[in-house]
Amino acid sequence: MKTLATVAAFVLSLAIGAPGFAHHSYVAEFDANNLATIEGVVKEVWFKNPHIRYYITVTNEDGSETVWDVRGLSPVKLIRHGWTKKTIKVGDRVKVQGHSGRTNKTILSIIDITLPDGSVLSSRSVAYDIKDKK
Amino acid sequence: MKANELRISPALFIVGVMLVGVAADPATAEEERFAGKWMMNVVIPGAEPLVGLLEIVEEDGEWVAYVENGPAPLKIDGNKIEVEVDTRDRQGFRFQRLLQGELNDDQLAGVLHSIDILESAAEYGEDGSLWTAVRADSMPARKSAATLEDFGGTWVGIRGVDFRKYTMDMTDSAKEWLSGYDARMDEAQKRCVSPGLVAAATWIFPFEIIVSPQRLTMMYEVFGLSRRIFIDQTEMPEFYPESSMGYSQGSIEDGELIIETTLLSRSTRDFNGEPVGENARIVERYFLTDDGNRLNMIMQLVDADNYKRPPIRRRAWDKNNESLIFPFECDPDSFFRQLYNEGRMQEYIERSPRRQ
Repeated sequence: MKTLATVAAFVLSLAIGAPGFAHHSYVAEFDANNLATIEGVVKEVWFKNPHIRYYITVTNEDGSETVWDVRGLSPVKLIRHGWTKKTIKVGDRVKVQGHSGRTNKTILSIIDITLPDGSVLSSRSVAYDIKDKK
Repeated sequence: MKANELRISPALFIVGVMLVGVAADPATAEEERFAGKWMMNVVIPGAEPLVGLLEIVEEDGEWVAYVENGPAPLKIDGNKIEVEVDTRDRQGFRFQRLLQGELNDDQLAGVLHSIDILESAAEYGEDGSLWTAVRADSMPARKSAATLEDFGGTWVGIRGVDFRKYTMDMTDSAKEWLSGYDARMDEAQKRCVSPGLVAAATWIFPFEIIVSPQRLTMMYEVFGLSRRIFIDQTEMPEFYPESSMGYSQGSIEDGELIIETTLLSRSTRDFNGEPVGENARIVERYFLTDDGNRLNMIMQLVDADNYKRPPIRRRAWDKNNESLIFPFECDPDSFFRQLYNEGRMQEYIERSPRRQ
């Protein structure tokens, strides 16, 4: 319950901003003017520094499948806001909005993720909210 | 001698014309009133003020401005001034801060406009903020009774303070090196390699200072980096290896912790690839607020091989000894898998010399 409350508080704390690999060459990798949204099933969870990654299988209109490489902030930032390794699990159906890759069109930088229960996790406040939660 | 017989030598005539010209050039007179070093302060709602050094000088007959020692286009018209500061947001996206103001009573004041700032980066809501600037030499000297022990504790970064000026006054060789930089391939931290001292000390992650006799140990959360600062020890040990965090010597002067770091290995100043050379010297000045709960830092990168003027960075932290510094286990799997998936492994290998 505490985790849920923390995540809820985190979601409520959304602020204007964008996800940010504060220590990464975000600009070189992603196009901030190109937003994309995908929906699919989590195939792999990689919750490690320097940044997290989810592989998400998306079923295309023609029935084929594409595995998207979805990137997020570093765990040390996310876990302060209640976003942990267990928050999104393999098999979860999620919707992800993010900045698309400049050259690689199947990577995405997370702006927000809609979870199966409809709640939304956002990278925005994490990127700029530097309050420490012990 | 009659009036119509007056003769002036050509040389004297030219000197005379020049003197009259200088005295009468209103542009020169206007701009000279702005000349010198100014400390700027931009008040931003919900964040700490942005602080930065503005210098206005005449170079090769042109009046130019530098902000945090990086060039900044300047316009002066009467008592009006306009300075354009190219800036990067935390993700590296560039935008312009346009400082428009007036000079009155030897003080500058005006409004800051953010131009081309991405909605995603408008974190401070800074557009329209008021700014002022006073002569740098009129600022009261910082003096405190802080001792080494007062710097100990866990420090959590706060918003604001640093202008994050983007363009610096680089040497030709540094520009050439930077032009070949590919952030997607060359960025050390993508491979879980230390990004270097400038990054460690200015990024937003918390850090802890542990005080020991004649030594400070700074433990940064980011990449689990640490460094030792040897206090009041002027002798450098023989064979000390160079590293991205360098060899640091420190001292306390008027309550201010001053650290000089040398023996740096090649790294980058920021995540856009500006180089830090092996002959660089990094000078950090740390000072506390009166209550001891806020730590401020001004950093200068003295690196003549790469910068004509030493880039300045600033940072401030609040003390929070209950804060935890998390372990930063890092795994470059995502970086290498992406290269593999994109068929760029060979290119990565061929760029190896740039990483040495």
